[in-house]
Amino acid sequence: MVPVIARAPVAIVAAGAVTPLGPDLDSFWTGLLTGVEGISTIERFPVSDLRVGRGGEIKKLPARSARMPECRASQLLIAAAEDLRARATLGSDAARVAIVVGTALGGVEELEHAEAGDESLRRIEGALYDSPAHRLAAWLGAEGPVLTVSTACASGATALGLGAELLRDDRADLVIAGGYDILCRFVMRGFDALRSLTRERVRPFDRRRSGLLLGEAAALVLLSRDQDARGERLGRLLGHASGSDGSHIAAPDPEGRGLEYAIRAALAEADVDAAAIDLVSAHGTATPLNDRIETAVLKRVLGPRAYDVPVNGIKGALGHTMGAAATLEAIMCLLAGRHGAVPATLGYEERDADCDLDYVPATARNVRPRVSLSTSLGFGGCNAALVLESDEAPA
Amino acid sequence: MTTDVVITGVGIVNAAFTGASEALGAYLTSPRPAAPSFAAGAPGIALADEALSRLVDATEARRMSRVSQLAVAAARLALADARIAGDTPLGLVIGTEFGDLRSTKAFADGYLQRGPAGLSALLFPNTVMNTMAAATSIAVRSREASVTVNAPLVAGELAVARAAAAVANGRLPVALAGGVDQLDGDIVRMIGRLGGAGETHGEGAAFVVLEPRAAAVARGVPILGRIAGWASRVLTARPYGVGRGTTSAAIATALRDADVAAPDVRWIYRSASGDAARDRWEDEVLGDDLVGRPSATLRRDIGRHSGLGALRVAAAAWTARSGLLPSDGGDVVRVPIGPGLVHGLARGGTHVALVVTS
Repeated sequence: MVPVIARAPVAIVAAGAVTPLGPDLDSFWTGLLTGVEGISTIERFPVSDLRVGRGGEIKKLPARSARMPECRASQLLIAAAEDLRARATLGSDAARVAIVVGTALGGVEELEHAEAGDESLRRIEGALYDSPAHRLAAWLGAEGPVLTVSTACASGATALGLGAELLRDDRADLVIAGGYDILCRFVMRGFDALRSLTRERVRPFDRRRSGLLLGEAAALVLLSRDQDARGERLGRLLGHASGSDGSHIAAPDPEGRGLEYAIRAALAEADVDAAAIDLVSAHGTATPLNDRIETAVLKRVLGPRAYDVPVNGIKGALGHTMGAAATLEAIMCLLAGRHGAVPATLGYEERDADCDLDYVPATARNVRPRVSLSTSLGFGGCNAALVLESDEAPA
Repeated sequence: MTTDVVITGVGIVNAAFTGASEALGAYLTSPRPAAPSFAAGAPGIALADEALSRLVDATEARRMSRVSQLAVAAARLALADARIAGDTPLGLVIGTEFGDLRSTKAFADGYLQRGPAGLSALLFPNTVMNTMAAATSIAVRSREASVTVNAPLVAGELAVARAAAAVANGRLPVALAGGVDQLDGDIVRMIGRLGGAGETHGEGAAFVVLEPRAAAVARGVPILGRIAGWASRVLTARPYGVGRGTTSAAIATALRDADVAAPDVRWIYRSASGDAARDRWEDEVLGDDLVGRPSATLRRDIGRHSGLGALRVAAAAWTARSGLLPSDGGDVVRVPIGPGLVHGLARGGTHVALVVTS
């Protein structure tokens, strides 16, 4: 492993989200805590000819974003930004406000419509992968760097990492970072072609797990240099790192070497020992391979303590929200520490011989994790890890 | 700037030429045709399949889409040029505008025309935007970060700027940075409806290898150039539109970081593409101080694609060393030795500036 430099933490000032659990961060957190399942039959597009027609669909967008003429991806992103803006002030020199968003499949729904014959300008504009980020920048009045990045389903972690770098490198004073992806027929067809979708319940780490269901969401956080953060904040991003499997275009490395590299590098950057980890938010897709590999890697990194650290996964509640997933999981970690409760892994009931950690079954647990590790894996062997520190809610 | 970031390798694959830093120098000094050359009815300047098949062996090519083959071929050329061995810790930053669009269309067409029977498990992973980076990281055995940056028109410049930052701040020990895109008639037509008439489209890939100067010196490899400053900002514009604003801090920030005053910029590689509205906008953003400097675009017989931005960075390093600039008229003109600017302004408003010196 290359030497990793410990770096200054970055403040996570606030967050905003729109998810299958509801139109804002409060509904996301309350839904996770109370065990709400956001999976339902998809209604926005026809599913009768799909093998699997369920997913984590957002049924209703906030009225203001729903009225916008933009493509759905932009609508989701702006809905998340509205929620964020309700919780934080973005006042700053516009040229020093940056946007970094991650997505796995960007405007592919619009491209599919264009391919099917609807070549309206709206469709073509929407098919441009970076148009949601630019729409967001225009909506927020941000004039700093605007980046759209992809590391497939780890994109939401990569975006936070790059956002932190922009701050540490003094390229911006505030960064709005996060991820998004939407449900559409194209992506449903794609994951179905890979036989990744289950017709059963999503059961991360469970003996009966049989695959994932997809979801849609947008999630954003507001980052600032730690010393510049004034007033209340959610917590801090202590470290982040990425690693490549370099082994297969669609399947994870069987030994999880890229993931292990990313976790160890993120811990080193955070200057945090594995013994300090209080919570792991796992990628936990509920595919047989992912969950087994992730468990094995966590055992190697955490050692015997792996059995004592709660490991949860939220994809049973939301579906796999692709580009948004890692950002939502990071936010969950911060809220868990803030409120002193770790959401349960919805769908986990029966122990698997290969997945034998503490996956927080049944109900939310009243513990207050201070330092959390969030892991992500994506197509192409992209792996990412975030080390986060929560602030307690003010009394 | 925490670390001096230098270029130690170049790899380029496109219809005009293919090769490493030596081939780039030969191309830039040779007389070039007065007009772009592509077959009547073709959407732009395409690389012949036979040329690509000489770069990627048949067994490997069967496992990769064409656009990934372009990326892998250029990446290998760049790493060989930099004398980087297969086990060197290496990160990737790849810019692209369209990703693997051909696989995306083929996947959609499959089920639109044939229903579930038309679904392809082999095609779907290629539809994710990072597929070229993934294929490249597998091919070159990269274990560090592999990030894809997406933007119209300036993705290559953006990728090099991000990679330079990652090397400078110590996140990546060595970075392979550049861009790749593949020509597609439908996209040329659709994008043309949004604007940009007059552009010549192309395809290919270009990479530069970036590393700290101290590391390059320790390895004893030739230093091809230095990226002394970089910055990106956004100017307000509708998606794929041309904006009215001309005030961006990108150029000033890049110059400040490079410790170069605007009057000392000797020459410019511009992103002018033949799209009259965008080219005028770029003139206005460059401003009176810079717009009159000797400039080149390299677009004419290569065509617009995300590799072109990285190619311009590599060419800028060559100009900084040689004092020669390949004008768009086809001549090579002598310019003062000194720092130059690689400037990118995209429809949609992404604005990138890199300062390159010898």
